Amino acid sequence: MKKLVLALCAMVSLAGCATVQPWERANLENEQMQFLDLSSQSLAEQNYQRFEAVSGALVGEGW
Amino acid sequence: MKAYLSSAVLLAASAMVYGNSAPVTTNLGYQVGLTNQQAFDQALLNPSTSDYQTPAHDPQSIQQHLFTLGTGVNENLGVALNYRLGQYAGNGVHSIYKDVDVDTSGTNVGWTAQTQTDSNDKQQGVIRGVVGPSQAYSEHDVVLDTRLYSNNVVAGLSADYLVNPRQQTAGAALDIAFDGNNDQLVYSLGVRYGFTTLTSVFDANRAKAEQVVLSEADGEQVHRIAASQSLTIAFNKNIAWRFGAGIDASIGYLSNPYASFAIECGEGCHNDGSTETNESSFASSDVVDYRTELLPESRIGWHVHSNYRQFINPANAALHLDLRYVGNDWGVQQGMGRVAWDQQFDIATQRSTGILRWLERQDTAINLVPFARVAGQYKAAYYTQMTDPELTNAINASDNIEFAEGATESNFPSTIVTPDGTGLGFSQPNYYTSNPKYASYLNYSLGINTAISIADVQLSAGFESYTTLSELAGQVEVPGLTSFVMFTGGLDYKF
Repeated sequence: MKKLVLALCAMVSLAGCATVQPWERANLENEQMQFLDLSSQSLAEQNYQRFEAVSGALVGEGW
Repeated sequence: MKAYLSSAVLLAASAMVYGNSAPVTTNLGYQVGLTNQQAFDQALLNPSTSDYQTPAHDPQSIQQHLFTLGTGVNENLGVALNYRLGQYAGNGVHSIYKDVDVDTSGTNVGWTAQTQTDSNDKQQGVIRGVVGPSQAYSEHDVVLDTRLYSNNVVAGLSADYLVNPRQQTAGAALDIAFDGNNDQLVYSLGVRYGFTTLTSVFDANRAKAEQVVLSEADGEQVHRIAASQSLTIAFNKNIAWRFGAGIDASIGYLSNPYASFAIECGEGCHNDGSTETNESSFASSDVVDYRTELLPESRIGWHVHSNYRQFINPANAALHLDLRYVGNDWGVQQGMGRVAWDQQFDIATQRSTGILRWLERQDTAINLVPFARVAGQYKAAYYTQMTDPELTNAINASDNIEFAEGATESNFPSTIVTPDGTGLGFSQPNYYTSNPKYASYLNYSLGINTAISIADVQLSAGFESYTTLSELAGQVEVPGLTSFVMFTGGLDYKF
C-alpha cells in the first residue's frame, strides 16, 4: 500500500502538483468542499433511487 | 432492504481528510422531504386511447421524515442511529389481468389472444385486477451503524429494518475501507458485504382478501458484495479531485416484491372469458402465482465517478463538478452529471451590539447552493411496455373486472404480461419488467439548497424540480416515468 501511494504521489508530482502543507489545508477541509453524500440516508438520493435503476448500485461510492 | 446501501452519516467527509477518527461531537438531526409527483397523463393510462400499457407506479405524494443521531463514543468508535418515516398517498397505478390461461396445476399462467380455444389442460378466464386508484400507507426504516476508526482503516457494521404494509425486510452489512495518504493523496479501497431478507406482509390496501394475496416474495434473500476504490488528490490548497471505480454483485431475489402476487381465483373467475361465474371450473389448486416483473437472480454492476472541488477564495465559495457512469449486465447504462456552487456568507458587522453582532459572535454562516443535475439512462434488456395489441381497447365492463372504489373504467391501466415472454420478442424471454425505472430516459433537475448555521445549530431548506424527458435515443414514450418537485427542510444540532 505504501509503495502504491508513493508511486501515485510521484505521478502527481510529475504532473506539477504542489505539496500542500498542513497549515494550507483549511480550504480543503472546509465543509463546502464536501463530496456528495450518496448514501441512502439522503432524502434526495432516496428519490433518485426510487425512480432510477442504477442509483442503488453505488455501494461504496464515497469511500 | 437498504442495509447494504446505507453508508450512514458517519461516512460523510470533506474533500481531504488526513487520518481517520470518530466524530468528536454528537449530531442530532431531523429532515423532512415533501415530494409531489406530476399527475399521470390519463390519456396514456387509458387503454382505449393509447396502445401503451401502464406499469405499476408509485403514489403521487411522498412525505419523508428522517431522524438521525450520530456520535463518537471515543476517537476509535462512532455510532449512528437513523429512523425514517415515509408516508405515501395518492393515486397508485397497478395492473389489470385479463384473459389469462391457468393450467390445472395452478402454477402456470400465460396470456393468450382472446381467440385461443381452451384445451383439456388449460382454462381461459379473467382474473380480476390488482388496482389501487387511491392509497395511503406508512413505511418505517431503522438503521443502526457502528464504525471503528484507526489510522488507515475504517470498519463498519450496520443493520437495517424496514416495514410497510407490503413487506418487511431486515438486513445487515459489513464493510471495511483501507486508505493510505500523504500530504497530497488519499487512496481508499473498500469492500462491503450485505444481505437482506424479505418477508411479505398482506396489503389490505391493494388487494381483496379472497382474490389476491402477496405470498410469492416471502423469505427471499439478497446477497450483495461490492468493492470500490478511490484516489483523492490535492492539486493545491484550493483544488481537490477524486476519481473512483467499483464493482458490485447481487445475488438473490432482485425483482420488485410488490410485483409478485399469488392470485386466488375465488368468486369472479371465469373459465371462458365470459361474465358467468364458474368457480368449479378451476381445479382444486386454484391459487396461481403471478408476477408482473421477473428479473434474473444475479446482477453485476460497475461504476466510475469523478468529483472535482475547487475553493474560490475571493468569493468564499466552492465549485462542485461531479460525473458518474454506472452500468450493469442487465443492460442498464446511466450517465450522470451534477454541478453546484456552494456560496457562503459570513455575518460580519462593525456594530458592538444588536442582533448582527450576536450572530457574528455565534460564527453564523449562510450557505446557498444552487445545483443542476442531468441523468440519462439506456434501458435494461428486459424492459418492455408489455403492449399486446390483441388486448388493447378490449377492456370493458363485460369483462367483469372489479373496479376498486372510486375508480372508473376509463382510467384503468392495463398491464399485459406474458410470464414466459412468448410473442413479445424479448432478447431473453424468461425475464421481463415494466417498471419505468428500467426504461430509457433523460431527466434533469434544478434546485437550490440553503442552510444557516448559528453556533451549534443548523437550519436547512431545499427545493428541487426533477423533470423527466420520456424520449431518449429513439425510445418511445414511457407513461410510467415521472417528474416531481421536492421540498426539504432540516434541523441539526451538534453538541
